[in-house]
Formats: sequence, structure tokens, C-alpha cells
Amino acid sequence: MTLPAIQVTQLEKAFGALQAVKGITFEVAPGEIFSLLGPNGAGKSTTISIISGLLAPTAGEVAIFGRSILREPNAAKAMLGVVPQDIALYPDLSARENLVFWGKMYGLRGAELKHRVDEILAVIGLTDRQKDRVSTFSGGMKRRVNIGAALMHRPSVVIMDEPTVGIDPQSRRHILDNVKDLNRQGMTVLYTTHYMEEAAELSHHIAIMDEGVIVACGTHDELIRLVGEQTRIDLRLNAEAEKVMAGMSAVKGVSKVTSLDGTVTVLVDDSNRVLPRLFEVAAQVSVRILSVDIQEPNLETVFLHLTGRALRD
Amino acid sequence: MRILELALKDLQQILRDKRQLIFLVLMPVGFTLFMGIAFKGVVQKPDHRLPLGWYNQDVNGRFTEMLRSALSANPDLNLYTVKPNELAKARQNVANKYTGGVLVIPPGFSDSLLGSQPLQIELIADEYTNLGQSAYQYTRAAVTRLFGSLEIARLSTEALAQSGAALSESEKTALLPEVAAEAFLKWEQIGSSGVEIRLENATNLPEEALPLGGNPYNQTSPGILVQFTIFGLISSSAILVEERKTRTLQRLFTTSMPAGSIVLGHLLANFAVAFGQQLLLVVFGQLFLQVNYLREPAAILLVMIALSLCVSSLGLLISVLARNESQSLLASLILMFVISALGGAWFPLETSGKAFAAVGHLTPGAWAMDGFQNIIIRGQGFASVLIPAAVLLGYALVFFFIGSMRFRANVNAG
Ligand SMILES: Nc1ncnc2c1ncn2[C@@H]1O[C@H](COP(=O)(O)OP(=O)(O)O)[C@@H](O)[C@H]1O
Ligand SMILES: [Mg+2]
Repeated sequence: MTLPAIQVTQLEKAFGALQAVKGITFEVAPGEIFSLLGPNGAGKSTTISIISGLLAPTAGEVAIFGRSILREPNAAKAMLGVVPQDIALYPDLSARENLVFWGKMYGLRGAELKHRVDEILAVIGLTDRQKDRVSTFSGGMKRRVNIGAALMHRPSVVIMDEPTVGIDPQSRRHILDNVKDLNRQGMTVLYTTHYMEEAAELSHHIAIMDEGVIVACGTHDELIRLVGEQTRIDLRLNAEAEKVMAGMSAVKGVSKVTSLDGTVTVLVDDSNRVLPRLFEVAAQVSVRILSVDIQEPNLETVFLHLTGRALRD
Repeated sequence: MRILELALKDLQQILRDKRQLIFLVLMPVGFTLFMGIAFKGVVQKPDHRLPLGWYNQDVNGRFTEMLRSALSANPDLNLYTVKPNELAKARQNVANKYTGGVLVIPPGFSDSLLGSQPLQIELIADEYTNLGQSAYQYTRAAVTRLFGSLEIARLSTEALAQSGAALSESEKTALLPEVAAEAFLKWEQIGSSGVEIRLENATNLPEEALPLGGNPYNQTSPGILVQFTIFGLISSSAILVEERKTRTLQRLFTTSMPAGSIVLGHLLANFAVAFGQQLLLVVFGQLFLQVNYLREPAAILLVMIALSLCVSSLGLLISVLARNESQSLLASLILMFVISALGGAWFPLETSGKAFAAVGHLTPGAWAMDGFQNIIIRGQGFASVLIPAAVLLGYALVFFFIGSMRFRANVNAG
């Protein structure tokens, strides 16, 4: 039996009265990409901080390949490469100096260190900017160095906390490709995001997290199946959503109705049958439907189905 | 090993900013020299002699010259010449009590002594003051000696004549000054060979005990050294505050480096800055300012190490307690001023009273100064720095303990 790369058991974390993580349990198998998907404030970073040994949990246990992060922190940490959500680099040092420093902190020396720095610079695509100070870099370039620093010691497990927040599409593409490459080379990746497309594209397994709880966990297809054969319909109206929501909820075949920014989102089992009913409800209260968008179920739909709220804030 | 690498990174960051060199090296050297000039006056031996003006209108007068030599030989008098055009000013000095008095010798004074109508010497002095009284006493003693010698000479020549020696009146007149000079000299010899009353001045210090060992830099070199070592807190505490702000400190904690090593790495960098700076200033003081640090190299080294440890753990404490860079800057500056001022870095604590010195010794600065000055001024041995070094190390331990306790809590909170 192989040990899980990461095993999280009944993990809890309270900040004073605030229960940020409420007893979550999940396992990341060696060699997979596992995503924690959830909106801001779901407790993803808190979970990651505990797994990386930065925060002590209120209760529960974390093991990296069987080594407890609480009882054998240094052995467990040696197998981890952590990419923090915020850029954690020395702005007044160059990209190369940063990588050299972090390499040393991970225990690399001499020729091996130099070779690895060159390798990482190539991986993150910054070989020609290596001598420039990090403070002169764009957000995307900083993010790439931020990731590179965590890879210096060829960790078996890489933990990335929202590595693509607030950057240009090009850097984002670069990073997503890096993650897939690293995984192909055998690294286990724990990835957190609030972008469902990223989770869908990258992950073997996804845990959907909300308000400190994992509300669902499985492969992408397993999660989609949770919402059954449901279809999502987005309706744009010429009036407030409140006028139609009650009426639409009462329509047979509708399982959930929510609204966001003047758009009403309805989950239905059969769009062909239900859609005309929705028009009728609108007509009854003299509201006009301006546009209709019918979508196959995705992770967004799943989140909506499970929590009654939209994933994005 | 990783501790060393971490410290080297800190040093690289501190020294990358070339302006740091101004603060770490140029400013302390400049201040040492500047304050040294201010302390020059303190180390000069104060002149307690009574100033007495000498206004002589009887140039080349034989007896006048004898009187002058008698007055100059008096160790308690500072006889200074008053030129003809300075008489008014000299009078003013008497009135202002700057000077004990002015002695006015009339023209032809010496010659008049040989005749029957001797001219009078005038002493311009205020008889109601101690200064005037002393001037009068000193003058009287010298004049008495002169007139006494003259009288002896007169009597001797008279006796010589009566014993039958054929002396013409003119020969007698010629002989008189010779004999008087002889007697005047004898008088002095009696004073220095026979019964002597020695007066010891209770406030007079022996030569070696000049303030600050006679070298103003014995105060300002270690003083500025202590001040600027603490000043170095600004850069060393800023590094850790920034490390927390850039979240690189949190990242360090995700590596397999033990928490203790991270604390020690940062402490080592602070220590290196503090120690390196002291080393530079000690060498500068020894080579260029004649401050004799190397009289007891081992003792000085011990004080330097203890002070560096104390200051570097204080830097750790500041950086842990400060929320941001401006707080750590402010704390470093306040500590620098308080420790320097109270600790005797700016002026010697001996001169500032018992209570002040006692309060000063609540700061590590005073103990560092004690350690250095026991060697460079008081000429004591290695044992004399043991207590100061122990106190500094005690401070270091307390600062380090609180600092490292809060260190971990801080990372998590951030
Ligand atoms: N150090 C902290 N002190 C107090 N509350 C915190 C702290 N860190 C996170 N929280 C709170 O815990 C909850 C989860 O935060 P976080 O784990 O950062 O969520 P996510 O990464 O999913 O956006 C939030 O409500 C956040 O405000
Ligand atoms: Mg987060």
C-alpha cells in the first residue's frame, strides 16, 4: 500500500471566535494534481498554511508521506515546496540571487545549486532577466519567480496557493503549463484556486471548499454528476430579479434559482421543457427577458447546487 | 551552515545600500573627532595659581630684578608682565577679580634703595577680597626678603668697617648690593634646606589622574562607538521587519530549516554588523587617537563581544515588537539617544553625580563604557571588565529570550 502524499485528517483552525477551518479530511495521492476550489474566505490558505507547517492547527493532523507536520516538521517540510499566495521574495535582490538564496535555505550547495538555478530560470522563462531586481518585475514575472523558488530542491510535493491571482493571461498560461509539466515529471501538486476553469483543466481530484468545510470531493466528472442531468440557464431581465424569483422557483423541474448583478440563474432538469414556463412567469409580472444563456453543467453549477451561492465574488 | 547563509544574505542587504557606510563608518569617525575637540578643555590641568600683574618702570634695576625672581619662584603665583599701555586694562582685571593685583614698580626704584629715601612700591589690589589679601601677602613676603637682605648687607658692611677694614664711602656703596644679593640668595637656600612647612592641596590630583587620562578621545572614542553600535540597530532591525512584510520570513518557516536556526541566522547578521563597526572604531581610536585599547586586547575583545550580543539581541527584540519599519526606526533612535545620554557615551558619568550615574547603569551603555574605560583610562586589568561584560551578556540573554519567544508567535500572526 502506498502512503498518500498528503493526508489531512479532521483538521480544524480557529482564529479566536472565527472558525476558519471546520474539521476537514482529504487525501492527495502521489503523482496527482489535487485542487482546493472555493471562494475567497473559504479557508484554503489557512488549510495550506497548516499543511506547510506555518500555522499550528486547533485540532487534527497532517502527514506528508506519512511524516506528521506537527511531530516531525523538518522531515515533512523537506519533502514540500510551498508557493505562498503572496509573493514572498526579496525585492532588492535579483531573480537569480533570490533563487540562489532559497536554494541554499533548502540545503543545496555549489555546482548542484548553480545548475539547478539555471534549470529553474529556464523553466519559469526568466533566463534573460535573471540579473534584474525582482522589484522591477511585472506581477506575472514575480509570480513565476515565486513558484521557481519553491521548486529549487525538487520537492516531491508542491503546494501552490492561488498562484495565478491578478496576472496577465500570458503569465497565467505559462504557470498552468508549468504545473502540468511538473506533474508529468512526477511531482504531486496541491493547488488552490477560486477559478473553476483552472481546477477543471489541471486537476485529477477536486475538493470544493466553502466556509471552512469541504462540501464535495471527487474527480471533475464525479462532481458534475452531483448536479445530475441539470442544465444551467442564465437570464438577463429588464427589471429586478426579485420580481420573478419566487414564481420561477415554483415551476416544475426547477431545482434552484439565484440572482447576481441582475442576472437570474436557474438550474433545471430539462431546459426544453422548462424554458417556456420561465417566459410565462416573466410575462405574468410584466418583466421582459432580454437574453438567455443555456450552459452545460460545470463546477460553477456544482458550487451553486451545493451552496446556493455563486463561486465568484 | 544555513544559519551562516541566512546571515550573509542579511549582510548583503544591509551593505547593498551604500548610504549605510555613511552611518556605519563616516558618521561615527566624524563625531568622535568633533566631540574630542569639545572635550579638549576638560583634560587640561586647571591653573589654580594667583595671577599677579608686574608693571615695571625700573628697567634693569638690580633690586627690582631680585624682587621679580622672588615672586616668579613662588609656585602659587602666576606673575605676568603688564606692558605700559595695558595698565588700565590690568586695573580693570583687578576690579573684575580676574587677577589678584598689579604690582607697580616706580622708575629708579633700585637706586633709591641705596639712598636714604627709598621709593615705594604700589600694589593695586582690592584689600577686601581674598584675591587682594593673597596678593598682598605674597608681595609682602618677597618685599620683606628683599629689604631684609638689604638690611643685612648694610649691617655687614657697617660691621666690616668697624672691625677696622679700610673702606671708603664709595667702596661701601659698591659692596652693598653684592652682599645684599648674597644674602637674598642665602635666604632662599634656608627656605629649601631647613625647617619646611609643606602644604598639601587636598584637591590637587597626582599627574596620572588627569581627567580622562589626559586624552579627550578616551571619552569620545568609546562613547561614539557605543552610540553608533546602537545606531546600527536601525538597519539590522529593519531587515527582519521587512522580511516579515515581504512574507519571506513566513517562507523561511516552510523550509526544513529549524525555527531556532532562523532566529540565530538573523541574530548573527546583527552581531556581525555591530561587531564589525566596533572593530573599525577601535582600530581607528588606537591608531589615530592614541586611545590605548590594545593595552588589554583580550579584555577589550570581551567587552566588544558582549556589547555586540547585547545590541544584536536588542535589534531582534525591536524587530519582533515593531509592527512596521517606521516603528522600528523610531524605537532604534529613541534607544540610541536614551542609552547614549544616560549611559555616559556623551559625557563621563563620574562628572554627572551619583544619582545620574546610578540611573545610567540601568542601561547597557554605562556598562559598556565602564568596560572600555576601566582599560583605557583607569589602567585596570582583565578582571575589571568581567562584571561589565557579565551585565551586558545578561541584558543580551533577556532581550534574546523575549525576542525569540515573540518571534514565532509573530510569524503566525503575520
Ligand atoms: N491570521 C488570521 N487571523 C484571523 N483571521 C484569519 C487569519 N487568516 C485567515 N483568517 C480568516 O479565516 C477565514 C479563511 O481565510 P483564508 O484561509 O485566507 O481563506 P481563502 O484562502 O480561502 O481565501 C477568513 O474569514 C479570514 O478572514
Ligand atoms: Mg487564500
